[in-house]
Amino acid sequence: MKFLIFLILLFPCLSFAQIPVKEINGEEVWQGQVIIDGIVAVRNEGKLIIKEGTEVVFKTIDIDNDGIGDSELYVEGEIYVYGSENLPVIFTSDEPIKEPSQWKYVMVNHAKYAYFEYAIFESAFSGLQIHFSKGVVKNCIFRSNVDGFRFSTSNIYVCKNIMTKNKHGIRYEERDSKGIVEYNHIFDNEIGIFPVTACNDNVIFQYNVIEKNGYNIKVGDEQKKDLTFKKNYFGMIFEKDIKKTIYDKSYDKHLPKINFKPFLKKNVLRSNIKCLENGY
Amino acid sequence: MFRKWLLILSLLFAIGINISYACVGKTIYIGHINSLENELVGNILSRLITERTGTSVKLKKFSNANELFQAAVNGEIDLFMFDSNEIKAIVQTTDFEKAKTDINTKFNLVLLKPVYETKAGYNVPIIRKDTLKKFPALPRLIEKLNGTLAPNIVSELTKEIDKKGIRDTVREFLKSKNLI
Repeated sequence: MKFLIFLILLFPCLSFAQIPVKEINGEEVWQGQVIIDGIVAVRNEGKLIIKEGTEVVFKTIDIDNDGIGDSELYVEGEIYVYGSENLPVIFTSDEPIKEPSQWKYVMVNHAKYAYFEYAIFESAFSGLQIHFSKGVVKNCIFRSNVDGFRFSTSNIYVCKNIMTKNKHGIRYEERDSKGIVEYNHIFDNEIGIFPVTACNDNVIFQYNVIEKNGYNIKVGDEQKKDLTFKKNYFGMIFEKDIKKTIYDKSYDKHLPKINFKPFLKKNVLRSNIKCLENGY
Repeated sequence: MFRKWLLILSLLFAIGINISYACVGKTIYIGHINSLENELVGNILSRLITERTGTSVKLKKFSNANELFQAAVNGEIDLFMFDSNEIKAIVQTTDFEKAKTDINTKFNLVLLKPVYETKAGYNVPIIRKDTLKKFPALPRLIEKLNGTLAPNIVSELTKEIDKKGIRDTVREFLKSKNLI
């Protein structure tokens, strides 16, 4: 029996034995430059506050040799990222040339609360992932990642962010998520928005500028239900042109349909927009 | 009683840790024999799966059919394309349907619908049974390739690789068929 328990406990440790883990259990404030070499985990009782102008640098390590950097920030407690327009918080790799997957992600999972304002996420596998949590993401930039912003089963408010030069600007499995995604500029990604599966239209995408992506929206092969993306601007004024940028039933009869009408015919003047304070 | 609780807590702890650190996403390993044609078909499968499902796919090369098949049996790869004659040879039968059943029961491998006809048989996708349980929608997705590939098309595409490289050749091919 004791040996069995020992093996069970040892198994996960063996897999990650070589990745250094630092835990945050109380309140911690970051400013200046912070280097993450391995995993920093904000545990359930932990609270991390990141002040404006902070540069969080993830060391490029790939111990499991899967082509994805292993350094990450993992949050189960609370995280508050307070960048400002002139002094954003930057999450980046230590490489001089920024490429996707040099570090893993900022992962908010089963967390108490997550707030991100004026942060830049670059050269990650996923810039930011939010799962089973409540999160607000405002005025951030997601660039040169595989997935810019990714979420599932969360209450989210995502406003006035920029997603560019990612494989997927926003990737999500809605499941039991609720929330609003508005006034974002999603451009120059391979796919602008990628609803992978289990999406039910409970997250509202509105007043976004979704343009110049390989596909502006692409539905995952396992998504069943038709989805609505009304009142967004796609950089075009004719329905037939917009349709070509949306990979749905019109490309593959087994896929559901994306309803994008009515669509906006003018660009959204995002500079005049004030996002909701806490999203709700 | 105390031991029982300790065991339950240990299990929960171990499972919890694994969930925490396993969120990069699932990866499917596709194997292929080291030849240009097989590499092309492997890349077509890979690109189709990753673009349509968001699942990460990695390719592994093998020097011959025997090594490729053995890798699937050993769980080193999840999915591969195999010639129908090779399949019959492995289970020593001339009856393809019997070969299909034998491969399933003896090796836990599932033969999907053939993707295209070759000069003397078919090129058949084969998937590990446990992979199929994790990705039940894969057969339907791979079936979308049916009718899009034929020996002459594969031969044309391999010529294009010299000019455009394999990545762009595959991407353009799948786009031209509206598959991605």
